[in-house]
Amino acid sequence: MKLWQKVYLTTIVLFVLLLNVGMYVVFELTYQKDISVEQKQAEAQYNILTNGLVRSLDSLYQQGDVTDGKLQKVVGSYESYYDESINLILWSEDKCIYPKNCSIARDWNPEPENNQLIIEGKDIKTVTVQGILYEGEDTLYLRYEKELTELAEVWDKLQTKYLIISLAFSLVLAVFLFVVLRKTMKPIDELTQVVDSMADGNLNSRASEQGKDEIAILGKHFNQMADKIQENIELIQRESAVKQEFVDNFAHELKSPLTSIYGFAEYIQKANVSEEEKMQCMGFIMDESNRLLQLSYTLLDMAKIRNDDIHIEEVNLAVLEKSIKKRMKELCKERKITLNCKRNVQSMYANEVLLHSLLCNLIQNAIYACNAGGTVTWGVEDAGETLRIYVEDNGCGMTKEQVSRVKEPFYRVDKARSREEGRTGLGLAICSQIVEYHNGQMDIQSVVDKGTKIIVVFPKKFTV
Amino acid sequence: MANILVVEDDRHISELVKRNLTLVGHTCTCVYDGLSGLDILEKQSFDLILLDVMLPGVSGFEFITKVSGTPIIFVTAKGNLEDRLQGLSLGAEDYIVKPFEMLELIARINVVLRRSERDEVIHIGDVQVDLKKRVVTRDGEEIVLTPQEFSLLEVLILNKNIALSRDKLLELAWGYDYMGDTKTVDVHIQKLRKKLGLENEIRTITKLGYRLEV
Repeated sequence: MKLWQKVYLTTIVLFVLLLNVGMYVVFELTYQKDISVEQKQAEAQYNILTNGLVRSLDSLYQQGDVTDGKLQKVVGSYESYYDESINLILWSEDKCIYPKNCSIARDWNPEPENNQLIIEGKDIKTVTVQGILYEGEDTLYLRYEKELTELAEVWDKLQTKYLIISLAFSLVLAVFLFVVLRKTMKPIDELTQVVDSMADGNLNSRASEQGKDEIAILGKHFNQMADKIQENIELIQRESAVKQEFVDNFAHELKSPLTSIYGFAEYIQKANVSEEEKMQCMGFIMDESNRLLQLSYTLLDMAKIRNDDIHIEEVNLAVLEKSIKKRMKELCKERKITLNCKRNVQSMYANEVLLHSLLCNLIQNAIYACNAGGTVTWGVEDAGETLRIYVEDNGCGMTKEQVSRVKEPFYRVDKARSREEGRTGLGLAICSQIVEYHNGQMDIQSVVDKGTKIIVVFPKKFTV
Repeated sequence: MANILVVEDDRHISELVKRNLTLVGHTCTCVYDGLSGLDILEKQSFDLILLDVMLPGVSGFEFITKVSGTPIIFVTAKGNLEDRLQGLSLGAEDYIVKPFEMLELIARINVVLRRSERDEVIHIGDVQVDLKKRVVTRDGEEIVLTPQEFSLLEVLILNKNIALSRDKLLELAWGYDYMGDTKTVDVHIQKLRKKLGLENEIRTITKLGYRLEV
């Protein structure tokens, strides 16, 4: 059973029950009071009647001529003096006198005590008072009966009216309650639908936040939760897409060297090759194996950056410059490149190992982009809140499309040459990772045939 | 046999393909990017193009739309279904995913070349083999071979200068579902050698199998 149905039924049942029980109690009390008033009135009337009657009988007995007819006349006159709903019955010890042709009913007490009030049955229709009227030669008894038909009729009508009214009220309540409950429960139904739809994977569904009641508050909180969930799921999806792409690219990256290694081994095994050719093929196999080895080293480096806690320290840039110069000396000489350093900053905060790796990667890329005789310049500048590190070359440059993709793992601007030189295509991917860990930003400006400038912006201070 | 253009930017793979195809008798020209591939196509015609997809300059999928009349086989590391379908729907004859076995590449090349209707008479020693008519002659006289012997000879010819294991020979000449043992191959090789007088050309390679050397 639904909540609204429960509330509905309980309310209706309670209402009808309480209303009727309450009204019944009120009716009963009022009725009892009415009855007791009637009884008191009856007793009073009986007393007045007997007083009058006794006086009349006294004078009758003094005259000495008492007959049943006279007695009947006297009692009859008293009876008709009051209203019609009164019955008087007069009897002596041996016979019933008034009204004519009456008889003593068996269930009466034929010799009642004085002023005895008799209430018969629960459903009171008459009030009866009886007692000794006159003690002379014959003891006379009088019975006074007053019918309560009027009262009973009033009460009957009242009861019918009450029944109709209570039914009408119950009906009105039933309809009104139904409408109100449906309206109150509607937001809950809607919220349930939203939750269902979310459970079905529709992450965009949101609850209505109208109103100020608990349900609206619940809706609001639910929406906040849904926002958070959606945000997180989208983040996870994005990250998993990036990872998937990396894995796909990595698989490609493995395929080429493996094709060569397998192919040349197969060739040596199956073809009739000369010693010289065999040596050459072995050389190819070793080159390709080396490529795989480089790739695995680089991947391990990337994993290390990801897993290690980054320790930020003050880096002396003079020492760094010296170390980079030493590292790049061979390559510069080989490719006839001039490497310059322009910096007006003495030290900066960063992880020294990662900063070194970042600069080496960027400078190496710049050197490879240059033709013989080219110049590569790197430097560190103070830019107020931040530090700008840049690496500039006057080499071949890149197109816009190449710039947009150059940070992707395994993307190579010049694929053939990059592979020949034994590079993995992961350099800039590592660089962006390093920059990200320093909360920095990397910007690439490049013009084809003019050169490339890579600017890395680092925050000056780190909150640890 | 055929004149093949290899458009592949990985020099080692390019070299490997060239060496293998040269062994079985094809002539190979290697270029390392799409643009030079298109350039050379303007000057020269080829029987077949082996094309990589991820090429500097013009990608393989772009390249194929600019070439007409020459059958093309994609040789690429991109192995997912979408790429295969794209490659084939662009009109490629076949799609080979790296890493591949050389025998497979050669077999697929042969299928494509056969599809483009090249009748070929091969000379081995002093016998002529007509692959289309399935006839072997010596000095104009026909040498009668059983169909199975001819299939074996055909496999050897198509993969000449490459050693084939007995299992590979069974698979290629008899079919995957043949249940016979590798001794069958030895028996048929002996018969071929005897009938055609190719004792020197069909060489036994120790621990491996046989190789037809031409």
